Amino acid sequence: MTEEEKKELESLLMELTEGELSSEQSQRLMEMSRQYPAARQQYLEYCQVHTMLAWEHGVLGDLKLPDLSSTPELPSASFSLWKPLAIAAVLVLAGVFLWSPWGAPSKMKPGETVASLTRSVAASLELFGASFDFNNGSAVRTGSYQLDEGLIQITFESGIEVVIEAPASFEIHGPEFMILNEGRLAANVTPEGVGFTVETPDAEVIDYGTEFAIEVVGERSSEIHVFKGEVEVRPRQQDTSIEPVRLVTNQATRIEYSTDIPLGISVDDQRFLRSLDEPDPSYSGSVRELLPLAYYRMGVSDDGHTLKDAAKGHENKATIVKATRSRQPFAPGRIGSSLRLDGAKKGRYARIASSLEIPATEFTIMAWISAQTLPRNAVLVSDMNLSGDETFRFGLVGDHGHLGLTLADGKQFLQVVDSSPLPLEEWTHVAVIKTTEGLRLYRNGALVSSEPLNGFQVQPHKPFSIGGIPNEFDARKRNQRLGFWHGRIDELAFFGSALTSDQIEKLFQLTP
Amino acid sequence: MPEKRPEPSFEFVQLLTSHQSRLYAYVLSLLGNRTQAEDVMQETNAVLWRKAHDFKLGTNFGAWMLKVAYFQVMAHRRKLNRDRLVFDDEFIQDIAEEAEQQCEWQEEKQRLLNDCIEKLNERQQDLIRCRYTEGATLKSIASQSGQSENTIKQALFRARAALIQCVKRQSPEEAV
Repeated sequence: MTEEEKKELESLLMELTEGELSSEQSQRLMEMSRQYPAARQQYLEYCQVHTMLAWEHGVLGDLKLPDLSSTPELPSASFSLWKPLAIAAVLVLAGVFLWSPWGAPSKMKPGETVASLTRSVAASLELFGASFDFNNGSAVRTGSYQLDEGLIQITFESGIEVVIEAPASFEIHGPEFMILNEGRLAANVTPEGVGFTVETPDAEVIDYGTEFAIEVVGERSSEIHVFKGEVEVRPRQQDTSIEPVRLVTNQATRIEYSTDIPLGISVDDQRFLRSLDEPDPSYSGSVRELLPLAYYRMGVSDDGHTLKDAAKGHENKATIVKATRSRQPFAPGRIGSSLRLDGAKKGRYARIASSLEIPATEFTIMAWISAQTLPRNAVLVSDMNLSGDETFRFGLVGDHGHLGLTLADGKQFLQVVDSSPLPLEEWTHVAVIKTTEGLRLYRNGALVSSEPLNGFQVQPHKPFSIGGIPNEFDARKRNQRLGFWHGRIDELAFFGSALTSDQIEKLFQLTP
Repeated sequence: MPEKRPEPSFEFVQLLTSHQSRLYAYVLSLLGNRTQAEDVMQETNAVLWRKAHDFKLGTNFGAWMLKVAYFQVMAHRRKLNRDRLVFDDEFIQDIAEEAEQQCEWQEEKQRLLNDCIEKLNERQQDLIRCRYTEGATLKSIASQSGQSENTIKQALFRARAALIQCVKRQSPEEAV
């Protein structure tokens, strides 16, 4: 386009939005659009920005919809019959009452920004059925959302933080009101956010300044767990004779869709990720002071598959290998979050960068672990390579949950094993140490087993995997399903020295 | 008494309301006239509402809506006198696909728009607010500010052009 034509196009576009195009002007706009793809593009973009501004500022007018109940077949010309309806009224027409604490339909205004997305962890989030590129800091508008993968943290204007885990379906209706149709949600409500309400298919949960979590599970039952503070749970029953339940710190209830009778249950603080930050209390500080070679705190990472190395001066990051697209891998841990592994079925594990090498003379491996089941020979840490060769395995020995370290050199092996099995679903502090004299195994700060070297020659070991063994190739060499941890691993640290019994005990005692 | 028709679902209502901006953009691009576009928009909404039960949740609402809108644009044009038609049929057929592509990311762009408005200079922000929020006419803005209508028109054009560029820079489709 010549400069003159550009000017002409501009004046045509101005006329389009501020006045009305004459037939000559329309003709000219068509000609230019036909002749120049750039003119056509500019025209389309200009129309779009005008409509977005009109919608953004609410001058597009209310959505007018026919009342189907009285006019099943609306004659196409009789638009005067229409009822102009505000959005709230539309919702009423659709038979949906947004149950607000005040008993009136909520004034949902689609598109209004009420919060922001403060964390997005490998999340696949849809708004009104359309995928958007939501990033950290993105505005969160009222609307209907579907979270298919990952984790998100939404921070409302009042400072209320909500962590939602996929798969979940939820609706945000305003700065203090949302609906959880399905999934898991944890909320941390600031004093400014008191009154924050979450509705589920079975109940309405009103917060009085607290930390609570909700899960809407299969067959539509809702569980509400309170970790701190107080909430009121109102069963959503037409029968108003069901009194609300008051829950305070460490109380939980389940409301089943079929009965709506509140069922008291145990509070479960291991189910909900309540914060996506890794707190830094005395434990991690003390671990760092002992100069680990690598330290995996298992903090939630935005990409959903990197385990950062928190050791000073090292960057031996680990990468989670997702054998399947399953649940995101972070779960509540002993401190902050932990790595969740689902055992043989999912085959998930993490591979540590090959730069991490454990010396032959002395080393220590230490972690907080929790087992959901005790799979045969499940691995915490192994050096198995892709050909299936393995000289180092810290994990379960056999079928009954006995923790041990096995070192092998091809001809013989050395093993230290705990004589009592690991408890299920209980955080346990474990450490295995190699000194110049032998192997020592600790559980919850106490020595539980030791084994002299007896002339066994230990080699330096690398690279390592966490919670499972490489299973991508060469499946014929071994049973691919064997060796995957089922439970959680947290605060996994590798040292190039032998920690003393005192140090291990002290570290165990540090965690409240 | 005619049989009562089942009412569209909550999800459908939400889809419909959240896609209004996209619908308006598409229809305006095809018609080139704001009043006609608003009429067709309402007609399209009525058809979508009546056909709500033909729509399967989880399928592409936007594509379905624009298909309905295209036929409504054509139907509306047949009712108008020739002299009120802005474009000819051939042009509309040519441009329809591009218009659909253009507004494919509309909801996402809409989200970016707010930040972009904040990046405009103060005068441009004021103008946009007057023109859109308060619905002021060109004439009233001109008389209030003591400037000519043409100056206001051009300033608005520049503000919109700046917004187009800003939204474009941040759009995911541009990053591909």
